[in-house]
Amino acid sequence: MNNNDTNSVKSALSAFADGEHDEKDNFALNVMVERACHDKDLTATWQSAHLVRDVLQADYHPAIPVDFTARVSAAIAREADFDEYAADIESGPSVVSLTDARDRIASRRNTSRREADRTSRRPSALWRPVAGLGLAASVAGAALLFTQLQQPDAKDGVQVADAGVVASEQAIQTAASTQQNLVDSDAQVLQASVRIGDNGTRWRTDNDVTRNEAIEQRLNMLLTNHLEDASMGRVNGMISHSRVVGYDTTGFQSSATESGGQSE
Amino acid sequence: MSCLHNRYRACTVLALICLLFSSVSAAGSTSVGRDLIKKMSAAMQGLDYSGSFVYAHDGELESMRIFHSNENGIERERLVSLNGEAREILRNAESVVCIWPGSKSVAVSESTPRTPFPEFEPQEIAQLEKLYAFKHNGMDRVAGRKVEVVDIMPLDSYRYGYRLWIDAETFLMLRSVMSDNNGSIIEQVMFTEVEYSKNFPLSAFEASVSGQRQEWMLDIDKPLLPPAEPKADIPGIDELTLPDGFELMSDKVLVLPEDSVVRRIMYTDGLASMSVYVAPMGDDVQNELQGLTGMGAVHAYGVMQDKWHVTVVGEVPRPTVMMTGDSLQLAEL
Repeated sequence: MNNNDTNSVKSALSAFADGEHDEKDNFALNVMVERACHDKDLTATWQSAHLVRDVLQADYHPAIPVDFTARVSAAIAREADFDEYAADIESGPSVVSLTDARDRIASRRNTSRREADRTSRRPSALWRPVAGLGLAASVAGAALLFTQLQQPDAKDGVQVADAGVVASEQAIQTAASTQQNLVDSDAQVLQASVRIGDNGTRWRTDNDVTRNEAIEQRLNMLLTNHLEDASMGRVNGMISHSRVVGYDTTGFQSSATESGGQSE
Repeated sequence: MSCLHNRYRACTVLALICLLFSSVSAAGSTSVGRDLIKKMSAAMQGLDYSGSFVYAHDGELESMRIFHSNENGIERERLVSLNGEAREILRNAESVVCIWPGSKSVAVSESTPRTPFPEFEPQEIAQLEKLYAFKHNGMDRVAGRKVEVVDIMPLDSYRYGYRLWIDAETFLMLRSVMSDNNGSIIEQVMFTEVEYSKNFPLSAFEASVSGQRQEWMLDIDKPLLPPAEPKADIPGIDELTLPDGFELMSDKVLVLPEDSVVRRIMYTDGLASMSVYVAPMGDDVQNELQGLTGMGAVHAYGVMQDKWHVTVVGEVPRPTVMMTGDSLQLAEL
């Protein structure tokens, strides 16, 4: 494949990923996708196009989904109307893989096949209550996990687990009653995960309210001196001084203090 | 019956063999671990290298770059922070200079010639093994290089443990994690890339602010103050309670850059160290450390006794500095 050809296929793939391809030319599209399935470069183009599109459309989910609670709530709501839930499963979240894309093109060419495929993937009415029970039990399990995280006394958590096992109705009630806990816990987890230190490397006390620059700079000087002779200094070498190098001088009112300075 | 006896005997012999092999294996693992640390100590001092690493502690993350050379036994080192203000530390055979451009502050200290990690006598090894468990913990990969992993686990809560990732080829330490005796991580350092080279320009070991030298920088080139006279004017320690294994390492008087004199008495258990600094109380008590403070794995504890201020500093847990500070009684002059 020459460069021009590759570039035109890449452009067409990007357009398809953005939903801007010519629907009249499904055959060419099918050929292009088949080629992309066997070409690493084109596969990368396909994935990049989707990543860009998802990020631009705010449809990109990081490794830890930030909308976990919302999705659990949505799943419970969908459980009431399982047809809608099944339809959602059938349509999928978005076209991500080339295999999915190939399936979709094929399904456009054959409507009856698509209907058959859809019917085969939709859970039968027989399975709906079981699926509902499974979903409720899952939520109860999640609630148990979060309850145990929140409450040091595990007995309450065990009661929640029992409720989830005994009956689906009770489990659903438990899930509903712990929904707020789950929201709160999820928020706490998120809060903890984004609680990134923004105070800089500095001396910390239990009552970390006021800082004294004179004390801290003197401590830096003593620490530098100590590390020069410390036993582990022979092992770590200069790395031991990382604390002093990392020491953040911001946060003091005064400036131009010559701590340790021999000049002035 | 005889058959049963034979079976018991066989089982006993098998168990003894297993016990023997496991203890031999543990001893071997311990000695491999100690041997790797000794090689690492020599590599950290003897190799020419540069690299970038991250330093994580207290929920903070810093990135830094290090340059190290050893030319004819003379070490030159520079460590510079890559985020925030361009803080750096320069070390050569004479001095250690810390520069914080943001606050226009400099600290200068005398450097101490590095000695290799000590060769422990058998009785010292026996003593060390009452305090720490050494273990060779297999292989890993850091900064794209194959490394050996060594664990040094503390056997009480008065000292920290270490897990060290040591370059399998050069023996440079590429990652280090300090943890308490519960296994909680206190701080860690990890190289993201390392380069071994012998062609560092001299400028690699000069302060990055030297080209725009300010008045506050002039003190870097000043000769350090001469060593202090004997400790006569500053009291030593009369009584002290130390955690098991800590022993006196050195006792000397230092002249700090602002011309104040301080007595430093250092204790070590062979790995962990802490210094007790005794100095005359300053004019403003508010500017003296009172109580506990910490930065990463380092803790400091300040107490006052009569007209003297004592600061205990070390890479040790808070109970260690507190116990030392609270128990000490200064000698009378």
